[in-house]
Amino acid sequence: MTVALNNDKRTEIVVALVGNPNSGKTTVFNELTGSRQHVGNWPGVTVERKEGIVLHNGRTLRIVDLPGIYSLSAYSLEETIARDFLIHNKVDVIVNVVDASNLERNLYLTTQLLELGIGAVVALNMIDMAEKMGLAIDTNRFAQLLSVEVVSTVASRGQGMSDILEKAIEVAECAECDAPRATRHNPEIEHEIEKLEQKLGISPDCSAPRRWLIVKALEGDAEARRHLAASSEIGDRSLSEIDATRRHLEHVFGDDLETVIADGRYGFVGGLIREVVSKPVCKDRFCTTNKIDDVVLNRYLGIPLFLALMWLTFKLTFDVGGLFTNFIEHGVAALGNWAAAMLPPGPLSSLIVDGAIAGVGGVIVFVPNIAMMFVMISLLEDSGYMARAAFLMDRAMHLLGLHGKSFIPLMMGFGCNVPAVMAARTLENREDRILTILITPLISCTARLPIYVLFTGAFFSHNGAWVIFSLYAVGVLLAVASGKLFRKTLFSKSASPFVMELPPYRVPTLKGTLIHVWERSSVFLTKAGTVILAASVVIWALGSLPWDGTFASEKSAISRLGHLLEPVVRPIGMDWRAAVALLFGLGAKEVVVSTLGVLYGHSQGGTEHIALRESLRESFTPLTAYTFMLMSLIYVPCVATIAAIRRETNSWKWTTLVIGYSLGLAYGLAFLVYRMGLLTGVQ
Amino acid sequence: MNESTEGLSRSLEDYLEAIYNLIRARKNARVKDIAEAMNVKMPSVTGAIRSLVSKGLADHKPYDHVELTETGLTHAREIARKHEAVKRFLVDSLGLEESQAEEEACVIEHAIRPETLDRLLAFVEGERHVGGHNCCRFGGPPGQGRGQGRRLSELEPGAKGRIVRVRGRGLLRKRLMDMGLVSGTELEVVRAAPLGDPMEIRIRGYLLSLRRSEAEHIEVDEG
Repeated sequence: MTVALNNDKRTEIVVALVGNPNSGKTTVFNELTGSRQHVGNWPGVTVERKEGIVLHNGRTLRIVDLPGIYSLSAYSLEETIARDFLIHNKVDVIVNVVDASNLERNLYLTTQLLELGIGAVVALNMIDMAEKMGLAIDTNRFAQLLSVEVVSTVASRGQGMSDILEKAIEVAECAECDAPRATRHNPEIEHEIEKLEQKLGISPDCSAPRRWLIVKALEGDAEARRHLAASSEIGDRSLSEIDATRRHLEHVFGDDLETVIADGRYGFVGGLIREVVSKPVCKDRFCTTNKIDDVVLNRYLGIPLFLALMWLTFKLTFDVGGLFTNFIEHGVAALGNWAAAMLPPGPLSSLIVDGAIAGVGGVIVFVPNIAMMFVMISLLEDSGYMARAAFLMDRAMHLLGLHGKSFIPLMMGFGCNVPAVMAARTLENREDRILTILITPLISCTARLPIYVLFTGAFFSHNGAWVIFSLYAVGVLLAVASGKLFRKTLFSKSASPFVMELPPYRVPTLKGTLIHVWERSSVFLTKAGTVILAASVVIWALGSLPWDGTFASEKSAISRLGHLLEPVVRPIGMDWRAAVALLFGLGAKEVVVSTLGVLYGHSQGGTEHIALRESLRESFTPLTAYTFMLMSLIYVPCVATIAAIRRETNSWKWTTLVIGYSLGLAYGLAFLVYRMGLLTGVQ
Repeated sequence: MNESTEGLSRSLEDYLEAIYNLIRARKNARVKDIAEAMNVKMPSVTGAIRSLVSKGLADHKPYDHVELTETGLTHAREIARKHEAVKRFLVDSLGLEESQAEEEACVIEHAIRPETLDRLLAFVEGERHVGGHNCCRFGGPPGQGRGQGRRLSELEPGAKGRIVRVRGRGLLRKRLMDMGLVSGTELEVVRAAPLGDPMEIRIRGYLLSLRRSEAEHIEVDEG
């Protein structure tokens, strides 16, 4: 029925949601799509791709949330993604979300969007804020001047959302509507563009709009030039035409063309604002923000406040999260016991109880921490504080070759590396993000603490605290050194620009926070979860097969592996049991302790276990004990962290690099410490 | 740097004056009208306007309307005042024809040395004011009240200025332009981070933070 009625219309309207970071675009998207959204990644990259299907007035709209961008150049990954999507996909309508209280910079992007010739709806978001500032925007005049539809919205209160949908449908289905009016550049440039349009003979089935392609090519955009050469009748000669025009124009204006065009765009925007906004400049918007910043960014208070906030974030993540963690652990144990009671003892029961249930338990045990951390991070981000945190810490982090925002992931690493790796998402630049992820595993997480406690208890009872502290310090120093090394070798020498907006403070919305937390945690559950589960089953199999009813017995595959590895760990003063324990530690670092317990014949392997300490003293010396702790600190991230790294970098290459690097580093360092110790006579 | 210490070229002053006169006469100045008034081709006009915009003297509005900024207006008034002074000298003191004086004044206002013009101004306006610091571009000792293009990174919190030029290239330059740091834009330094770097500025109605190493690429006319 519907199909018959609509067969002259497209069945689905593709709406691209575009806007500056901090324009409230995500809130608009959440309000439009509610829970009917799908989160994935753009092909080949780790930038989130969100889309949702919305039914409105009998029409189906597919709403795609493009990354937040300031410009349509192709300098950053986000810009490239947004641009490629707009050009290569059949986008019916662009919904450009604009912060009405910050029109000037927001409209700079709008001028570029309109050049694409796609029908557009401009959503003047946060119009309440603009009104509070005393700005009156003549939306009719605005719409008329740009030939676009304009709606006023307050996304945080859901205002104007159905208007967006209505106008979007109107624009998509209006055949005779004018294309939006593109920015008029300087007449001299316009004249040259016209000439080029005729000369180049761009094929009509080229997916990019002709005018846009020429302007971008004139600006020296590499991708636009490639595209142009491919779709022009005169092929590569089109590029020499472009270059000649560029030189000519640069001569006329006495400046490089990119600047001239950017100037022109801002000039156009300035003029537009003067025409449609009654009171153009008002600083009221900053009143609250200013007052908060005077305290929060204060020369003396700024950093202590920041550290206090971080401490709070850390505490809440691991303490409040920890409450649920205990609960989940008990639940998983109860489920395991119940299953064990229901099933006849044997390999199957063991597979289900020790493999699957324990494996799944190992995954969901992280969820409370991760969810709690994302609650905190969402609050920090949505309130506008995250940018301030980067502002405060950038000097210190920059010395380490990192970005100000790297501080938070690294700090989270002391709790658990898994949420830490995921927290690196807040870094917009891909290189900064990957670099942060690469060094995070070197930060000693809480799961490694039981190992330190067991060994210092057995060997360094007098100065245990210092020994443990030294391990944490070694972790931090290695992270810093590795960061510098990676920055020098793997990444471009020139650091990415820091240039970053400090958005006005806003009250985060509950809905926004919940959606954030849900989508990020669920991604962890589904993607990382599968890897962790599979790895747990493999470890179970290695530990239990060939089946003799005990776990990690001397005959098991894993202990054979341990024996095989003995020649490898010998040079660093360890035996096969240590090797096996480390192998199990791959599943989760704290398992090292319980494995040692089993291997030394103590059914229970707690850190306070007196008998286990005795046994350890028989086969370790203080020197080898320290070496072993160093090894546990560095040797390899646990499976959950590896899964998170794989998921966040979206690349096995980086994941393998982390594993290989940390293994090599751990072994090298352990070797050095052990041999130096032997040479200097330390036992 | 040269540009700002040398002041405006003669032709730019003529444009400034023409725009000023058009705005006074008709309330607006379009590129076409400017070209007509000055008897030149439109491309030349747009080139000149770009220069004026980059010096923060003019603004380009939609439909090719040109407006003068506060600074531009001040300059234009100054030039017009000089033009009037010379013209009145030629007409009143030397007894030239109005039209001939107009034509001559256009040339003389640029050609005579600043000091001489100052004396002339003083003479015509009846001021015995010879030191010459009452004039902006032509007058004053070097480096006073005119664009000494300081680097943004050198400015203290609270300092205000106007961007003269954005140097550097590639990603950083593009990023700065996209964020609205183009020549002619006004900005204010808000604060430095507690550790001294980065710095925070207010520009185009929003707050932006950037490292000092990045701010070094931006030349600012303080004021």
